[in-house]
Amino acid sequence: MNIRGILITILAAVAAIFLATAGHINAQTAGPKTAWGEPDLSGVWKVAAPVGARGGKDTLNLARLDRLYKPDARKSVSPKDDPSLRCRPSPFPRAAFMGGSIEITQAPGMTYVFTEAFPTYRIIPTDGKRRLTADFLIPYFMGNSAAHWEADTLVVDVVSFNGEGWLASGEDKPSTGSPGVWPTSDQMKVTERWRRANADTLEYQARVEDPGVLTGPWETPRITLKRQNVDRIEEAMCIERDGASAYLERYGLKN
Amino acid sequence: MRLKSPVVAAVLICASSLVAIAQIRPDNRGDKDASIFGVDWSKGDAPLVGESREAAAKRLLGYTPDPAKYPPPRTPWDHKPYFGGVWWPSDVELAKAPVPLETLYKKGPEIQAHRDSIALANWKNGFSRPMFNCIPSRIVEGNTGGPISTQVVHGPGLMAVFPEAGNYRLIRIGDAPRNTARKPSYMGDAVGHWEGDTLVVETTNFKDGMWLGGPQGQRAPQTASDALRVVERWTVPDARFLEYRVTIYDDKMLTGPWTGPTLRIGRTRNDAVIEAQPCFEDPVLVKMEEEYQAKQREKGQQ
Repeated sequence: MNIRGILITILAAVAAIFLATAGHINAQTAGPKTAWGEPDLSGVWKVAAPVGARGGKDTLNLARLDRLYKPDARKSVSPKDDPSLRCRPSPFPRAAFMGGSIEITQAPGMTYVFTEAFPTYRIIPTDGKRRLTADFLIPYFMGNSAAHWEADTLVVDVVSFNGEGWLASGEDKPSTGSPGVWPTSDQMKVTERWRRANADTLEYQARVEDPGVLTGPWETPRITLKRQNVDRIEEAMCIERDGASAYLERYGLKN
Repeated sequence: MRLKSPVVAAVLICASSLVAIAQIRPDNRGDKDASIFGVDWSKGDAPLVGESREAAAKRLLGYTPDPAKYPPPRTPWDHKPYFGGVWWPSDVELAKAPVPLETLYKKGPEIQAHRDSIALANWKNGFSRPMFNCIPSRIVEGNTGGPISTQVVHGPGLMAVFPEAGNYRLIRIGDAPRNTARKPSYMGDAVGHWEGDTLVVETTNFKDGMWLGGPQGQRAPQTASDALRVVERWTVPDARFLEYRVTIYDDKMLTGPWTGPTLRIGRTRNDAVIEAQPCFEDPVLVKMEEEYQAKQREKGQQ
């Protein structure tokens, strides 16, 4: 073996050791797995800290969203038109940080997400086979989802929204000049990334494109949800006649 | 019968909104793999999307289970029957209820008062059915399903039931202790356990005044007390249908337990999904009710 051959062998060995170690570290830090080997996202989860833009703190990148709105998109819309004040749900990403818990359960190739607020649910095929053909789908509050795994991250494409949801609350104002209205259109597309960072932590991040109302894509910061030590989410029916505000207050749901 | 037309109109409005949101449709996952955990039951005469309710009902009733030919799919996590899928129609009675629920109601002024003056009073005007106020009613109201479809989601330790109209239920499966601190709720606390291959679901901790059945003519709504206990038995005799039976216990309102009919519910193609929308109060309906109440007040003043 010449020197060149020895060098290549050494380099290959170093690379192999490095890759093996990196793989080992990755295996150690990845969250729990289901019985059939998928990353396990199941459990009851709640945002670790309030998410939004209140009291001068913008933890949702809403200042950027304010700048993205087309001027006409928010004409004659007031914070009082926030759909949750009329018991209407808003889709994810907003549903992830409404204040109530969310519950996730999984079966092979399927992930189900339930929200305490309103209450709503999503059925997410995770086998990577589902095609989202907009002309086939029925527009829905929560949209229609299709997902695939990228390593331990569940990447979900969501389309076919009914355009009634908002991206944030009427009370969220990242600046004094902000109108505090966050409507969407039925052209919205959301790409979500869900990852179980460890036993107690779920990370969520979303990118929103909505050519109907926005001039460019908007991305949420990475939102951290913490595992709740409860057996399930609570029942929190929104009954409009009681008053939706009272409902939100009663169940501790931040609007 | 001056009340009749608003009541009928109200029912029609509600019914039409339910129909509008309730649709079975084939999913578009784009693959031809119709198996559930290795069992392909999409061929043969499994109920198909588009089949008429009458045809499906007739076939379900005349059908002898053949578990050798159509073994029930089993979950990969505990090897118990798998209930996931879209089930339809849910009102085919293989065996009738032994006695009508009404015959088991206790008599007396207190019981009658409970049935007449529940929180949603004015049942006689037809507007106060819980569903008109988006209050869940399907689990207990009638409790015999209906000609609509239901999607069941089944994962480890959890089963979720989505009727096309109304709110979904979460059923915890397993031995985890119940949260006894939980307040009574519309849907109650549902916990399932296995007796062989039968999933037995027991639901308790309901709010007082839930409806087991609606008003009929001059008969008051069939209300339940906070002692209500609902026990359901779910089985999958073969891959193509499930059987369902409910028993209702309410020591305060009933002289004994009431057992409902045995329902046979067909499994539709496994790539079917339902689209259920959250319930809202219908502004038209609310306006009609307000007008009706105003008229009643006018009449009272005259």
